[in-house]
Amino acid sequence: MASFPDTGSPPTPLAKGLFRAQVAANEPLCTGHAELILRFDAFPPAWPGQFLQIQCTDPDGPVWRGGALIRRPFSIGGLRRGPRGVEIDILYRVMGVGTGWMSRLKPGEPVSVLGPLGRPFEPPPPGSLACLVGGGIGLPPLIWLAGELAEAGVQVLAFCGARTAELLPLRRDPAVPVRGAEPSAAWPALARWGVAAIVATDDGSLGARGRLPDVLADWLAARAADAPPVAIYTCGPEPMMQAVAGICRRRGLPCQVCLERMMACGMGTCQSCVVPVHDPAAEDGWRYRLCCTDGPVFPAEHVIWE
Amino acid sequence: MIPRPDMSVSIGRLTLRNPVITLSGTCGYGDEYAPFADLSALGAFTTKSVTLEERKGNPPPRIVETPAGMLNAIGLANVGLERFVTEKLPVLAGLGVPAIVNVAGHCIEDYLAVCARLDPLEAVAGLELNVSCPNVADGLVFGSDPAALGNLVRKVREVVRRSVLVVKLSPNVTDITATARAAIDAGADALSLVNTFVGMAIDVEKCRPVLANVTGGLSGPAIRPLALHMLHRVYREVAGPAGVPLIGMGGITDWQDAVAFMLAGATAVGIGTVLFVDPGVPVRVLEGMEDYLRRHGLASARELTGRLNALNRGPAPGCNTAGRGVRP
Repeated sequence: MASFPDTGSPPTPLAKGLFRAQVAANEPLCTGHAELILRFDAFPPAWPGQFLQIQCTDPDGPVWRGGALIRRPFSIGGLRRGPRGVEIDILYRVMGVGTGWMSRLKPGEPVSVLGPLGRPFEPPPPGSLACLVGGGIGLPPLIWLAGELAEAGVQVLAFCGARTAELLPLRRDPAVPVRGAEPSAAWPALARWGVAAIVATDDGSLGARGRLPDVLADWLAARAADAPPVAIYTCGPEPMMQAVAGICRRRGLPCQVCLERMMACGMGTCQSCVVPVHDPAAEDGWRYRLCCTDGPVFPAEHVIWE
Repeated sequence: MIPRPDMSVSIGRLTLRNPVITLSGTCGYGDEYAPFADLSALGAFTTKSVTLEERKGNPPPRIVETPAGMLNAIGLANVGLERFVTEKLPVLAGLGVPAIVNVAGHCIEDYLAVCARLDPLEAVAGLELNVSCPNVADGLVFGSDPAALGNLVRKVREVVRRSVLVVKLSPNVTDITATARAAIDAGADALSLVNTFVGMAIDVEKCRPVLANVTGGLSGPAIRPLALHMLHRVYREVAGPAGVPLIGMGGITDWQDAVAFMLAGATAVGIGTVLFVDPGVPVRVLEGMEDYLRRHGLASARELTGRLNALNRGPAPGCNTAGRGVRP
């Protein structure tokens, strides 16, 4: 099995902690979406698929004085280590009181962060083409994964979907054309790693018209029989991941899914973020596992879809 | 130099080095928060509810945030008695903090079996009866019927000989002093109050409850004034006169909240939901409380308990039927 650059394969257990970060940037990305860059003096080793629990209130003073109470989980969308510390990208969609607070953060302001949390993606089998299938705000962990895999010498192709062009949380290079279901280098967040992306929108406003799993299925069907084996990574709306997992099951492709659940703690104590998984050892063949500490990344074949 | 205040308190025969306790269901089985905070400085640690058999718990969604709080309907998910004893208790024993094991059950026999198994174990300092879980079908029966509660506590009392017996009261009752009195009369060493309030949230777009369980238990700052009032009533009307210690809880997020519960009559205070946000809160509460004692010239945390009464001898709230009113 290949390992990620610099950091290699994750040890067990993973180091994690409570940190105070500083906002380096907080800029709109597309309609209703923004990118927050947090700067840390130091941060433990982290891997794509892991997430942060962000306290969506001022970390100074009382723990709670209005606004969001429990932390909000966000996938790490990018991580850079440099002489001035560690920068982490958080791509988010403004949904409610927590993300609303985040959208008003200004550079220099402090943010309380728990992390890195959860079990990350595993690298693909050697010689594989890694296909990253991300829908909407499920894209961030795959953007970081694309970079890490490309750095490790893995061939990567991205499939990115959204309801409409305006809701795709990727900045676009207008000079680069996007034609139907053809791979394009129009998205710098991926292209900087030499990774091309096939984009699909439900309304056809960008890339191929239609659902991303259908675009993936067509692409897989059109491949030459002697093409390198494919390993799938997916994150996005649950019906999309379920469809992608179904395609992988029928084709015998390895598939890792990155799930999202409502969670209070992110540390394995509150037991709220349960995911039903197949377990032959259990009396009735299944059990709950925790999205926060057993996941958020699961082998697709383990998950019992609801 | 002012001497350091004595932070120790007594819950029955159990002496805690300080009055700050972490609460059932919010701190797992002891080691989950180790990377984030040092819980070894606390007064006591309360485990997630343990039941006779393993329980998977309720289907998700199990939580939702609500204004100033959260609803949870975990459904007592836990590893069951035997795995708790073999896998979790050794971890607890290594924490260096007295462990209070929270016990839940479907029927009296369940409670008796779990308590009888745990009581003799060295690592168990206290047993807390969860008679008030709002998220299981029969969880509220013992918690809301004083006669049923008294019967349960009396029988459990017979098998609990070594560890301290705490009864956790439900706020989902007409008169919490009635259940408090029943538990004390049946032999409880201490009461903890309050558990969560039953609540509900609705997703209006989907036209259905947010929680798969439909209802959940409300915790967090939203319930703090309600919990404080209930604790104060129980202290003044039942527990104080009976000399039974109270563990106060309900939306405590900082040392000011903790001191308020102590002033209202608590001997110790429980920190729960806020641990999900910051596992370091209990240590800061402890520091804040110690500083408060110094500033107010108090030598011991025990002097805080019920101090409100010492300063204001008006009629007990809730009994003020004579219309006398309390002088401002």
